[in-house]
Amino acid sequence: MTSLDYHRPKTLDEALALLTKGVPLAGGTRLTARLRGIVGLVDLQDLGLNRIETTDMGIVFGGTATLQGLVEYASHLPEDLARAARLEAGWNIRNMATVAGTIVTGDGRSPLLTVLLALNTELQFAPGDERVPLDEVLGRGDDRTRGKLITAVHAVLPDRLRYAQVARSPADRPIIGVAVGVAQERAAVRIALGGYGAHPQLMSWDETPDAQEAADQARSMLADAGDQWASSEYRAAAGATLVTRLLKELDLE
Amino acid sequence: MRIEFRLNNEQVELDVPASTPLLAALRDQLAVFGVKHGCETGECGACTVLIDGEPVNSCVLLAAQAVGKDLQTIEVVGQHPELGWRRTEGLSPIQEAFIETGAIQCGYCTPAMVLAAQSLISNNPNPDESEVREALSGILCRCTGYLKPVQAILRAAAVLRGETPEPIDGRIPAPAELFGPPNDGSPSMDVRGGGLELATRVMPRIKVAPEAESLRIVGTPARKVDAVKLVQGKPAFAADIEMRGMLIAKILKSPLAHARIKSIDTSRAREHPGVAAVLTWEDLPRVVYSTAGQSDPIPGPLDTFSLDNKVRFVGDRVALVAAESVQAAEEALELIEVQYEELTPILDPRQAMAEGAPKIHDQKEYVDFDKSDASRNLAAEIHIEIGDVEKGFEQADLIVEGEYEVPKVQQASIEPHVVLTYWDEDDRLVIRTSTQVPFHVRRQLAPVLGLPPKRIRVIKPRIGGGFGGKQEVMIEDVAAHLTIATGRPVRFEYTRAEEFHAARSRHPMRIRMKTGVKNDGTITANEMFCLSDTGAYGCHALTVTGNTGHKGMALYVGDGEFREAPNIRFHADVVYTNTPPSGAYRGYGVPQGCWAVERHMETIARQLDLDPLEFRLKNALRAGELQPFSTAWSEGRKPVPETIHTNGLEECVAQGIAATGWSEKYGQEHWHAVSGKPYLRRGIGVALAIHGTAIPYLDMGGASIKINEDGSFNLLVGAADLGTGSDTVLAQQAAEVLGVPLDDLVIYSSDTDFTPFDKGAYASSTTYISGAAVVGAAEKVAERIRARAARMISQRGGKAVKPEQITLADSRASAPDGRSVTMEEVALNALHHEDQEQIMGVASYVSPVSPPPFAAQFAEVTVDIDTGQVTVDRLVLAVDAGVIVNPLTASGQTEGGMTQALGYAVCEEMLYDEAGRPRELDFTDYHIFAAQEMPALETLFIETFEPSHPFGVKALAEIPMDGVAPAVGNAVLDACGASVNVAPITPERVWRELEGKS
Repeated sequence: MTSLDYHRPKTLDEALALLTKGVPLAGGTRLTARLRGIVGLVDLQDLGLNRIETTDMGIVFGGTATLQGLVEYASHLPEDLARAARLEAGWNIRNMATVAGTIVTGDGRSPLLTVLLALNTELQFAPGDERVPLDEVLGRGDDRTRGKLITAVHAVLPDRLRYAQVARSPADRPIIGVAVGVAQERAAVRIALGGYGAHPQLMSWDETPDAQEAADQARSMLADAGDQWASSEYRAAAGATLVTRLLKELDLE
Repeated sequence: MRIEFRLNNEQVELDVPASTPLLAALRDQLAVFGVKHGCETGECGACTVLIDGEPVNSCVLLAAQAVGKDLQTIEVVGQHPELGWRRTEGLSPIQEAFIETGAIQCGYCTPAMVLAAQSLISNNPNPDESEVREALSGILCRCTGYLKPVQAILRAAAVLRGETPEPIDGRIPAPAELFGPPNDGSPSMDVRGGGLELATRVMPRIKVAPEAESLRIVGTPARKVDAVKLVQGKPAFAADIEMRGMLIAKILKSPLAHARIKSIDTSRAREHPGVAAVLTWEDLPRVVYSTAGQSDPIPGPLDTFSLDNKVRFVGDRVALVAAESVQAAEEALELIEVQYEELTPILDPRQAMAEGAPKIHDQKEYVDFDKSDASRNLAAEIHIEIGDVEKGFEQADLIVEGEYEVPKVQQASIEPHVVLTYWDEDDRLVIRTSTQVPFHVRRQLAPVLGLPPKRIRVIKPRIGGGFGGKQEVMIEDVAAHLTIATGRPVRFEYTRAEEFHAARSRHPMRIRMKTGVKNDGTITANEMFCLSDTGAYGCHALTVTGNTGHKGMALYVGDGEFREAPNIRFHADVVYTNTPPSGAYRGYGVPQGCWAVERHMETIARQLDLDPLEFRLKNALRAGELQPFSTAWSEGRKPVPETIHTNGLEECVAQGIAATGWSEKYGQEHWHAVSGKPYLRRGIGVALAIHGTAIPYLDMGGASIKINEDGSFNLLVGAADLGTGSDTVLAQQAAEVLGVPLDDLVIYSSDTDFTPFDKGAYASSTTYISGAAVVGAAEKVAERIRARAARMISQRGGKAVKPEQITLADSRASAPDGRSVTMEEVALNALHHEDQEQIMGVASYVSPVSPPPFAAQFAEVTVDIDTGQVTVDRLVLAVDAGVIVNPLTASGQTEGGMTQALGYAVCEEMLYDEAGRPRELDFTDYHIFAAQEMPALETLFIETFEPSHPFGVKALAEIPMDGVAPAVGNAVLDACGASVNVAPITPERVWRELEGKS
């Protein structure tokens, strides 16, 4: 086993320079138990990236803002965004785990990731302050994040948002999760399908879709979504049901 | 690296590798043992510490991340109020509330809960129930069902606000004729998480047996005798100890489900820095044994070696390593080179006995028991015939058949299996272990280690939950072999992943039912065929599955002539597969049988259009009748017929009907609908259950009591309190006999050198068997006290008094005319003044009967008929467990039991892929219920007075496990018509039933 170097930079520049020597360490809730093969850690806790604020454009979560910070900011957020953060983990882990860390390490069973995908979320990277849509980052492994830091997560405040999931118990990981976000300025609709796979999947329309069309598209996307937790047949049916139900609840049928 | 932080108001510096989790730094370097290890991935929360006032999990936080932070652990929260001449501020209000409300069972997660509560209340002095549950959402508890911890925190918050909560009364409320609906003005059932349960009621509702009303200590909600130390996080558990020179043990696990070891090269591992020993099968004596912790002779095959040249499941042992550190041990494992000859695995129990199936146990040392047959992969076969089953079927108007399936699930105690071994100064091997069966550990390991039992001492400290999983001599040999090899202390502790890889679990079963019934609902014959999967080894194979029939099939004997002469058949094949071994799990085969029988009874009742409760009670066993299986089977020993003397089942049903409002719900269409949500349907279901109380003519417990100079008593028991509160209820029984407060009983359990024998904590036996032994010992002591007190009182003048006239109460021995001496005076007289003697008593007890507890389990659910998602809204258990010795600890057990059983009903399941690799290795995938997602829980105690015990008690520990899953299944059926016969009741299974795709 190789030895591990730990770094705690005080500035963003210092942190970026250290990324050649190690991987970013946010809350550590996923990484600490999986250190095999890692030679260095760059702890981000002193970078002051933990702010959460609402702007005209939406909500900005600093890269090290915790899930509990998000929950405590609930009065400024769509209800189901805070609920998704609460579903992500219990209180102790939420005090440690970060929004950006959840995005980087989360999989398709992450309620928060599913909801963020429905919110037209963008990730702000350093160096360069490049902003990249979340759906472009998901599924590309380390390609879009290697050598970079997520300094902020920008979620566009929706006009309406709903999240629903099917699980074995109320706080279990979802077998199927559906988030529907409706944009404020136009009738654009984003639907994220989660509960399986490496990351949630996105369906989007510039205009309000026909509910049946959306359900059919969800069913089609879930046609190969079978795994050890549920069959594709079930996921397709339950996913289409949730899509239809949420669109109805949002008066979009 | 050098790190520094504030810990418990002091600055701390230490050197650690950068990869060191904070948990390891706190426990291993700083001896902060109030922080517990339950997992390595942050799900269980036992390792909670406060950092800058917020609860976080120290297992997934590097020590380096804590640099510059302010850490707090339980060690600085409260103290015992009297420490000799020094007075302290005492325990914190939160700690006091945890003790008062019975929120502590095993106490392993208690420090974490107290810290979370402190953080919550400091930020929110007036939390509501949902906020309290959210505060506990990061801490898993397998014992309590969370109800009492929630109550404790609400109570503590009130105290800290300056309010005075109602005292928790020592007496039990007078019973109503019928209890009626709970929580008057109870909220509607379509709201979850924060409106359902009014949490301020601490005591369960209880209908007191008239014979028990005069008892003074028995029947009261006494504080747990171990609560003060547990709530302070004192180093009371097996791993909470430092030993100079201690080595860490690790196991090299098999990556294959079935293989022969062709060669092992350990040379590189042995040379690795920090490694003290590496052992393979070639290094150890070849001693075959069983890991099942049971009385002699073991009622099962001997099929296990500490290390073998064959592996039989993914996770099976290949080699043992002892090293100076976890890191060195893990590095050594990677240096062991193994060549395997891969063999075809058997992963489906239906293929185990097929022609040409691979033989899992082909070793010549295999020792059969009864009908086991390793050549057919058969670990046990059970066939029981009662009456004339075929004739019974012929007399039926209707034959109903069904197939049912239950999964492999794990006990999942939050404290993993952990053991520490060392040689003492007399070259005797000391085994400090988290076990339910300390005396079995000593007896069964002796030949494996090449030591006589007299050279082994087993110490059972406090146990962080067991639930049957620690009724197994499973890991003690690992540390012991390495101590023998190195001469040094060795600690071995399973990781959570290793628990799922290799610890025991509930036997998965496929069960076929066939029942003959007349049109009026009379059962004429009942048959169960069971295929039980024992996994790679046959530990508990015969006895667990035997109880599936012995109790699962005992309840419904029929009515009329069939009640007089029941017709029952039970057959089971218990087969080996290449999966982790099954074993003992709370309920011990009965939950499996109860699932099949109670789902089946529901089906029959509906086919005959009969009321499901009337149908069940019509056929159910009654007082005065024989337990039918007692005539035919007794765990591999000679059966002796047993008559049921007490049976409160009808009362349980009546009280459960009233408490749940059954009549307004069952069959009432308006109740099933959910306003505004046409896709939701409510349902209510029930299951009845019977269990047992110990194994007759076999289970023995011993106790000794001696008086001390201040009139207090030392009570030594071999019984193993694994968090259930058995030490408390045993002490209560002694205190009742001796007429002293519970505080005057100093109880110690258990240590094979110092305490009398007890077979251990299993078979729902401790309160009854060990309790009777305690009462016997106390009566011997009381007899000596009466004799001496009579003489002392007579000597002081007045009319002479006889010993039999003396009564013991309020720490005094009193004559009928009021003259008395204190217990302290008696003690000083005996020990110092006159005809000196040590007043003490020793007694043991073995029972000729196993008086069954009975229960009616009710469940209410809401089903999403489009997705199949089931939400369990409420569980109500009405149970006859005889006299309840301590309503707080007892209701804590029922609430925790229902919670475990709820997991069995809807979400717990262990599955394996085509190579035998487990799906579940952590608490994310193996989901157990957390505080914020619990349904409402309620317990109704319906006391009967069991005549075979001095205080009328029967068992309680296991019966809460039995009825929840079938009651939920029946509620789902009631809600939407989906008849799910495979547990757990997952959304997809419900959906498939609704869609006709099952």
